[in-house]
Amino acid sequence: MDIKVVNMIPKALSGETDQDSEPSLAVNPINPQQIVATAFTPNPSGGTLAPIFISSNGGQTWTLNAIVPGATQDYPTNDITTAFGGSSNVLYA
Amino acid sequence: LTAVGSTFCGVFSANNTPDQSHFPNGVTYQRNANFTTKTLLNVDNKTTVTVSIDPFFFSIGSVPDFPHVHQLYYNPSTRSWIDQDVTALTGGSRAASSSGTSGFGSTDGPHAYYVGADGHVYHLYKNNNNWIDQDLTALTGGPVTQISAISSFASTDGLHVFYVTS
Repeated sequence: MDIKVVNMIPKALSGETDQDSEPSLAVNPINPQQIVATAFTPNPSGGTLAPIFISSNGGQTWTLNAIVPGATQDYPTNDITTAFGGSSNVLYA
Repeated sequence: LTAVGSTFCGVFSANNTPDQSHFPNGVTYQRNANFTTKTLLNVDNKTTVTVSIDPFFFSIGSVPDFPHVHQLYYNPSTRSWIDQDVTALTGGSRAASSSGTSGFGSTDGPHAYYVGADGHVYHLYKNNNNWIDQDLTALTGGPVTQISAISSFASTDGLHVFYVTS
């Protein structure tokens, strides 16, 4: 059985020491290679958008994309969960 | 944890010390790490970084991929057939598992059509020698379909695509 484990923090954020806890995961049912994950990961650039982790190759590699509104200085991210529409190709957060 | 076909995918958060003994089935780090000294390294790949909590993706079994649309074309200069994964080139929608394809060449280049895994009708065409994947159902607001039959042609008044709704 093929078991794969990947640390999702991108290379460009190698210096980060945040507590990236309480993760969540969603897989696009019409393209399972597209996977989205969230955690208590702040936006490395700050601002009002919190990040999500995105993979387009079945979880082999991950990037961070800050697109979820609602981040503040005191709460740079929150308990974000995501889900894909059944066959709509739409990601909801 | 979620199931994708016969594959399990999940995510957990854990201590990020790069120590293989913590990962009996192996692990891949994107961030810089030295598994010999069991230290995390900054972007300069030299300065050590304090251990913290990171998210880890895992899968048990291979994450499935839905069908891609391929093009086979003949290159006269090399006298050889070439297989081109147009879905990979465009990053477009995967095809329905039973989707047929239809295509033709017109004065502006090749055109191909297929039914996506989401039941939308897609149009593949070339723009400046790059393949483009266009969601015709989204553009027109037409109904989705679970039936894969599709036909197309070009005439003097433009492009035509026929499909059957569920």
